[in-house]
Parts: sequence; C-alpha cells; structure tokens
Amino acid sequence: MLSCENIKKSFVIKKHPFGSDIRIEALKGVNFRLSANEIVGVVGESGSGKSTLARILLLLTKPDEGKIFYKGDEITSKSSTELNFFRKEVQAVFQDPYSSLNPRLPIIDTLSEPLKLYSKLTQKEIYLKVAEMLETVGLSSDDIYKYPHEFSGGQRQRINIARAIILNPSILIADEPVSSLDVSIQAQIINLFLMLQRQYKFSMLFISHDLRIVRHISDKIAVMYKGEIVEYGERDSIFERTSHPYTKSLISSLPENLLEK
Amino acid sequence: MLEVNSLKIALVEQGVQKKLLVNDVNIKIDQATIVALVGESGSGKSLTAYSMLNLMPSDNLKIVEGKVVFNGKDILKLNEEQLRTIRGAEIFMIPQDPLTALNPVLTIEEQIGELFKYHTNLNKKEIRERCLSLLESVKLSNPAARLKSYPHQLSGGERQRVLIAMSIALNPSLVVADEPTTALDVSLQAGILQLFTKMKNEMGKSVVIITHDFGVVKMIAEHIYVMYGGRIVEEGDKDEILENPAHPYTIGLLKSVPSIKSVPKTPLPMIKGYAEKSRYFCPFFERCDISDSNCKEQFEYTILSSKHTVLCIKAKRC
Repeated sequence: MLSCENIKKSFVIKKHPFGSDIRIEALKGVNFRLSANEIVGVVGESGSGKSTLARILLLLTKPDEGKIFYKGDEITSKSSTELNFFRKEVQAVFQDPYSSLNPRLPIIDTLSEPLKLYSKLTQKEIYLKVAEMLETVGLSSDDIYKYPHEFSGGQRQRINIARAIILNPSILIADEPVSSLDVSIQAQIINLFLMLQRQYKFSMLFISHDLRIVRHISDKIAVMYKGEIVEYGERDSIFERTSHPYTKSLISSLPENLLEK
Repeated sequence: MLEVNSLKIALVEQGVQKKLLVNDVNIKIDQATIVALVGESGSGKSLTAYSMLNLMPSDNLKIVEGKVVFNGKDILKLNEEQLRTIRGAEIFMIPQDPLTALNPVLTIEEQIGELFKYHTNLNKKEIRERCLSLLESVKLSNPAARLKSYPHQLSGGERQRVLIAMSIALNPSLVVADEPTTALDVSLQAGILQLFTKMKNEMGKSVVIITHDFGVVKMIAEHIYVMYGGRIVEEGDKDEILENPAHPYTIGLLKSVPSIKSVPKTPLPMIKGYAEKSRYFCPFFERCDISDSNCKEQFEYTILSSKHTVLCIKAKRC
C-alpha cells in the first residue's frame, strides 16, 4: 500500500553566518512498508523521528532523499493536483485534539469539508452522512451544530477520527492520538480505533511512545531510535525475540518489568 | 507532618461562589513516605496540591474552607512574609510543565542560585559550588557546562532534573511533584522516579506525587489517594488498593490500561462516558456500572480495613 525507501531528512537547528549550518538528522535512511488491512505500531522516544516519518508519509514534509510509493506508484515529487487522490485516500489523526479542530466551525462544517471537496454528495446527503458518522464514532447526531469548545478532549478526538474516516480512506496515520487523553478515555479511543479498523478495513500507522498501547493495537511493530528503525517485525516476535538493545531497554523499563527486578 | 483537613476550593466569580472544585478533602502525609494523588484531569488533584503551599493558580479560585496543617502551623492562616520562608525552603512544588516552570531568560545557575540568595547567606562562590553539586546529584551530564545553559537548550528530561535539583536545594521536608513524568519518555521516567525514591530513603523526605499513571504509582508510592470529581473516592495502602480496589472508578481505571500480558486487539475494559459534573450525590454516578437509585441520595465512606477507605455505599458488595 504505502512504502518508503531510504528516507533521509535533516533540519537546520542553528544557522551559521559563515561555514555550514548545524543540522540535526531526523531520519537517517528509513525503509518502511504498510500493507493492506494491517496496523503497524511505531514506538520510540521523543526526537527519534516518529512524527517526522508520519509527516513525510503524509507528504506534508519533503524528504531530503529517498522515495515514497503509494499503491506501486512513486509519489515523492508529484504536484499537488496529481496528489488529489492521495489526499483523499490517506488521512491523519494528530495528538492534540484541541488545536486540530477549527474553533470557529461547528462540527457539521468541519466534517462536511472533506465531503464537499472529494465527493459529489448533495447538501442533504452530506448532512445525513455526517450525522451517521457521529453516531459511528460514539457521539450523538444531536451534536452536529455544536462547536469544538463544547466537547471534552476525548470527544474532540472522536470528531477528529470521524473526519479522518468519513471519506472511507485506505490508510489512516495516527500520531500519538491518545497520549494527551485521560487514562479512562484512552481505552475508549483505542477500542474505537480497533472497531473502526475492523469495520472499514483501512491500514493504519499508529504512533505512540507507550509500548503497552502499541502492543495492544498493532499487528506489526517498528521501533525507532535516533532516526532509524532499529527493529521491525510481527508484534509477538518483537517481544519474544528482541534483538536490539534499545528495544530491550524499552521492554525492561515497563513498570511491570521494573517491579519484578 | 502535613495534614489537609476538610478542604474546600471553589470557583468564585465576582464574589459569587460558582461551584466547588475540591470538596471535603482530607489527606495525611507522614515523614519519609511517598504519597500518590491519582485522578483524571479536572478531578481537583492539582488544586489540592497547590493548597499545600497556599497557592492558587488563578484569582478566581478560592480556598473557602479547611485547614492545611504543616508541622503544627496552619498554612492557610499565614501571611505572605511567613509563607515565603516555607515555600521553597520547607515545602517545594515541582509544577507540571518543566519548560514553563523555569524562567527562560535566566541561566540554570541563576535559577538555582536564586533559592540560596533569598533563603541563605552564602556568597557567590559557595552558591556556585552548591549548584554544581546539586546538578551532579541528579546525574545531569556535564553539570559545569549546564550551569551556563538556558532552559531552552536543555531537553525535557534535563529540565525535569534541574527542577528536582532545585527541589532538594534547601533541604525541604516535603516535595510536591505535579505529573513529574508525564512529559517524559519511558526510558527517562524510570531515572526520575528513582531520584524520588532516593530522596525518601536517603534524605528522609516525603514526596507527594500527582499522576494518572498507575504504573508510576506501582513503582514508588506507599499510600494512594484516588480523586474523582473533587472528592477523595478511595484512600489507602498501595498494595491494598492495587490488589483489591473497591471504588468502581479505581477498578475501571486499573483495568483500562493495557498491560504487557493482555491479549492484543481485544476491546479493553473501559469506563463509559466522560468526566462531567454529577447531578447526584455520588460524583461517579453517571459513569458507574453498579450504581442504583440509592446512590443518588446518599454516599458515605466505607472503612474496609485500617488501611483502606472508600467513598461508595456499594463497595462492600462488589
């Protein structure tokens, strides 16, 4: 479905008036593949390049080097009009449920925007679709004219998820979608992702720094460390046959394992 | 050492009391213990912690009732002058966000040094030495160079270490830490928590740690207070609560975290609904699976053992 080869990306952290700028290498040659109908979890500490990888796969950031493929075609340097189909089929949910919704738009407007852009539905059909989507993600269709500030963090994340799947995408990229939520709400959102993935059969890239959550939701796991994927494989084999020392330290620093020592 | 007695904190707008955010909270902290305050955002746990220094994050929040007794003195009755000798020197608060807690235009040395400048008579050279040894004690790499750094040049973990260094600078007997590990990576979490355990074991300090992560609680706390909707809903010894949680909220919270042993891709047990103000007596009524009409009209603390109390009339039966 979606894959990338040898992706490199660095950012300038300090401009040097003479000589060369000081750069930080966010990704150092990453190869990654997301197949149909699977959930790949990406885990790693902050600064390991997880979010940069997500942004590059979404074509929101241009890589310095490397190629990105979607359904077999290289899309790395396509123009924005050529990418129209990609924007429709690949959707994202981000960490902060507060800043990712426009505070001035009622929910109906936020959720009907993708439909107006990419579908030929009439006004009435759009209304019905939005109402149905709200019910699907566990909100009430009575909420349709409310504004974002009327919802709690967990409810807003549900709205973000509704917006992401309303076009029935083939891929969903979720960057830390539960880390800013209360523990009692995290479980609700994780269950919602699992339920929707089963129902709509999209592929999902799920980024989190919490290994327990990644383990719970994923089919495959990629462990990122300092701009590289240091370990990648089936969920269970990552835990049973851990090879990289960083993954070992991640597993051993889980509270359950620390206590046993 | 510190006791919070029937504390009530309210939102006050233009002199009118709007709603109670903290309601009838009692907390007791002994010498050399680590106490965890667990609850969701908005449950009043941070406000309760702020009240221990007689601080309120906003002018609209007022402590309307209760006492905070620290070594025999009621902190809520002290004037600003007296409070200054306690804040920082006897009770230290590590706020939630280590970036906003540090002054961005002061170097690390100036920030830590400030504590000594106002509370001791040390000279400049002595202050520098003390700062250096503090940074060493929290295992910050290259401490001499760090003294000259500004907060934005440090990573989140390093900033948190600087705050912990500040928290032990004046040898306070109580350190209150608001979500000290939430912003940190798992690999750093363990290191920070070990520092707290060390403070307790080697220096005999007490630590109040505010968190919503039961993993953190399991690792370091000895006594737990669970807050929900402004009230303490369950309180007791750590092992008792973790092994036999009695309040439906605590039970739900413990179950909803995926563990390394849970079966992947199955629905996680969850607490329904959202944290909203309850219309009934029991603050958890709307989200509770076992509540019935009795819970609307009454609630009371049920004492399950000498080390375990719960605010639920159905607790005995579940």
